[in-house]
Amino acid sequence: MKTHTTLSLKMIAFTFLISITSLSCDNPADDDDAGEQEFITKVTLRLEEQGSTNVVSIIWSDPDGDGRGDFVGTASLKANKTYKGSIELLNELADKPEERDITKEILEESDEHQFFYTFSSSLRPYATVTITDKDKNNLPVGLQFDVVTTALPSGTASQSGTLNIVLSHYSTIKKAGTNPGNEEDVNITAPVSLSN
Amino acid sequence: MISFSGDPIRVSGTVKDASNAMPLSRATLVHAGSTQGAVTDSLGRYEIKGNSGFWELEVRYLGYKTQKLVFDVQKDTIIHILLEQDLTVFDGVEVRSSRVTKGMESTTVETIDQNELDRLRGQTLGETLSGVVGVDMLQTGASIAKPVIRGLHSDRVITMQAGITQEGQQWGGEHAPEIDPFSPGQIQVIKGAAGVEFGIGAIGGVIQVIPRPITMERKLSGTAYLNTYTNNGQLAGSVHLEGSPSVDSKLGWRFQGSVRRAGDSRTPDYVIDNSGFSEQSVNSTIAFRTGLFHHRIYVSSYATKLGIYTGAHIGSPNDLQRAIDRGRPAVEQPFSYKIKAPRQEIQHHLLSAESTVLANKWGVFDIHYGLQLNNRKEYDIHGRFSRDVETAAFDLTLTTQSLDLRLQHYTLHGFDGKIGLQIKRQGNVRSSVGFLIPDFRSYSAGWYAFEKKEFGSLRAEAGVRLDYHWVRSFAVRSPRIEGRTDAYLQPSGAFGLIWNIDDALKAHITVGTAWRPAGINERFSYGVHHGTAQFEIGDPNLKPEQSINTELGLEWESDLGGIRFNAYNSWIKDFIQLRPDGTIVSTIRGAFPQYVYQQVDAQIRGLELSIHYHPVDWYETGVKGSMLFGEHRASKEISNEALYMMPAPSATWLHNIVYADRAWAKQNTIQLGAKVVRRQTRYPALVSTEAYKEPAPPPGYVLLDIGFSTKIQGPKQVWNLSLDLKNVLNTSYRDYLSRFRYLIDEPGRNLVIRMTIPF
Repeated sequence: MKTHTTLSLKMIAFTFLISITSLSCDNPADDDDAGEQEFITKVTLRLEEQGSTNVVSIIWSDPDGDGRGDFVGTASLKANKTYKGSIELLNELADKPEERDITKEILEESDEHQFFYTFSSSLRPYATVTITDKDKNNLPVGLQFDVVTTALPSGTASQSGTLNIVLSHYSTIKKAGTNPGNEEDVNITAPVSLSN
Repeated sequence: MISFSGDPIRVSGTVKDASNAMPLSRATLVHAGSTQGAVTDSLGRYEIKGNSGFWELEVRYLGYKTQKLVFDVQKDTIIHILLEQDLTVFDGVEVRSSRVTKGMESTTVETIDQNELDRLRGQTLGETLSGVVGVDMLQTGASIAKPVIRGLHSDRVITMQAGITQEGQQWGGEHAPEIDPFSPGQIQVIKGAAGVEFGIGAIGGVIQVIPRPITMERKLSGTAYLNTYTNNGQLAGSVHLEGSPSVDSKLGWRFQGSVRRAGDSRTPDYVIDNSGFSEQSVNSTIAFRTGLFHHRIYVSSYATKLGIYTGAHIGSPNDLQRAIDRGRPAVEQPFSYKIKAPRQEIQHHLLSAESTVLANKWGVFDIHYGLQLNNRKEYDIHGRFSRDVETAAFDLTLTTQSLDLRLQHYTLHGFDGKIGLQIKRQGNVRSSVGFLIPDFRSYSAGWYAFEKKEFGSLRAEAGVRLDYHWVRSFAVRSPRIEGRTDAYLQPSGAFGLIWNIDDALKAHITVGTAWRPAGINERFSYGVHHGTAQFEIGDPNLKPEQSINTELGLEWESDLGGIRFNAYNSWIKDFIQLRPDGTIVSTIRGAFPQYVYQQVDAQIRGLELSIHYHPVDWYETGVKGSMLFGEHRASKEISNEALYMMPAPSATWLHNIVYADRAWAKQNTIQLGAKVVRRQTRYPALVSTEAYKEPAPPPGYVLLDIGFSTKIQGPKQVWNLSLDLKNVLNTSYRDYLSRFRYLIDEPGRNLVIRMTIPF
């Protein structure tokens, strides 16, 4: 009886010994890593005006990577011009430098991505976008594009509106050139003005 | 001492447990009207000498129902006595199965016993419990289901496994409990105010997953379970082995291993891409006795991989609107067993060690240690640009240790009761690039006392509890979250009355309070929730939720049938819910409506009714139904409004027809069932943004099931065989409690074949 009791108490003590030694794996801590909440922190559209050194930049930025981002200022385009456009996407918070340039990744998977550029109705009569680069299936990609503007009606000095930029991702839906993908990786709308 | 005229007559025999024939040592036998008595030895044997004539023998054993036997003794007689466990008096002494922490007697407890469970094996816990009145199922696709008790789920429901609180990462609606469906011997659902023993969080109720008892009856025995589901090509099997190496039943063991594997589920019209799953689980138990101590060690390991419908992975509100407009997969995929991304990979390891001692002076003392490791990994559909597909987007490990001490005292001036102390330590560690919740560490301690007493046909019970909870959350760099520490001290209590009006009719009333601190996700979420197109923001300053549950119940049981009726009301002060606040957040993936965790005062009221009637031996019919209204009360900011995702009213009508026995097949039973679920008409205002409009809840539906079960004579033992045809009419339907209700239909017709083979 007595020995049984002692044995039992030893067993209980042994269980606690196990419990105390099993604690090593459990160490919550402050997070010093740069968290990758969203994977694009900066989008830059570069519009080079042809026949001039003039460059218009449209920049969307989420510097702290918390998901909330916005455009810096309003881009001003001029009527009756052709712009050579390109888009660059960055993850400035990536740990490894080679992971910062997302444009390169899209280029490598260009058959699974496509950009769509859409001016709002107020600008649509006077500005058009044409994608100039192609993937391996000869379908548009949109990392390179042209923006052509025409004259505003007489009496209108400037017209404001927006440019919607969508990057469609095709993982379950097949890319066909005009269809939206199953997932939008980018969907941002930049304020734009057009003036004579 | 009584003096005998002539030779005394000897009455001897054994005292054993009626459920598993285990000998009961130290049981007392009293020959009423004399001072003769006996105490059983370690093998449960007794011997009493006395006069011939009528004997009135009273047999007592702690934790068992006292039995009175009256018999005429004319010569030496052997009487073997079987005692039934009295779980209502002392549940702690039943040591071969785990201690069952009971709720109060006056609460509504629904039990699914082993026979019923065997008819449901192979389903998730959520599906298994969905037949219980007042319990619904919250689904994320075909592979993930979690139980909803009276409208509440996740952190508001406690799941207990092997006597300890299951500490998975239950804060997510798409996180299913990590329970092997083949392991439970019994499942109990305690609805509403569960009492004071369960601790923080039991606002909605408690689910008790109780392992089978270890019988210690035979050297070696076992059972094999096999089942197949035609809809998703599921194959599942489980083997149980148990034995007792010694004849004196001092040691018993069990081993169990289970596997479930399923491919894509199919709606009547299409395959739900990537809805398969794979699950493996092992557990083993050793139970033994040393003197007055009983010990039980239970170890289990569970791993699952759950596919999530690929079409539910969307990037922006535009994508969501397009998926809703399609209402079916964009691209139809052929059936496959492959589990791709998005998927969840979860592991849960549990160690439970328990010792019980019958302390002579005091009562039954119980000490229970638990260690749990829960790891959850979630994989995205593609490595978003730079991220490798094989790296988990989220990887969280939760480690929990708990220690419970409990004393159930002997009856003292008519009072039966217990006191207890519970201590818990938790740490959650994140080791992934994606942010979901910050790391945290928590400690909690709870003390409770509970007493009950009978007053004629009335039984009263009352309990009090005091909890302290300390939690430190750690800083995150992006999104910017500061580390902080919070502590809470909170009392709670419960009171119940049972009135046995007559032999058939019983009434009860229960009033109980419960509370829980805000969950880590509710306090620190920040960012877009995939699949829902919501930008969710937590509030670190959320106060604890507090509830007052009141329940009235009536129960009438006769030889021909019975009726159970419950009406309940829960007030939940500072109920935490995620609500759109009207703000639109501009992100890289478009403009998302902003949802914030807010506190409102909520009320949930409901009715539950179940009736069963068996006019003849071969036929039984039953109806059960429940309805509830959940709403939050008007405040300065918000007007009175329905709570989000409350279960719609539903009812089930069942028929059991027992067919004549055949030489080769006995207990042939045909079961017909019809389930009716109404459209949920009470829901909060639908969200509407430029890109996306939330649809109204889906229409109601009716599902028909047909089942057949029989027992056939195998080579040595009786085999159970059952066939169940679910959704007989192959109805296309959607359920309001499914997270994919806007995207795809629920699975269609399903033939389930189950076999139970003991050996």
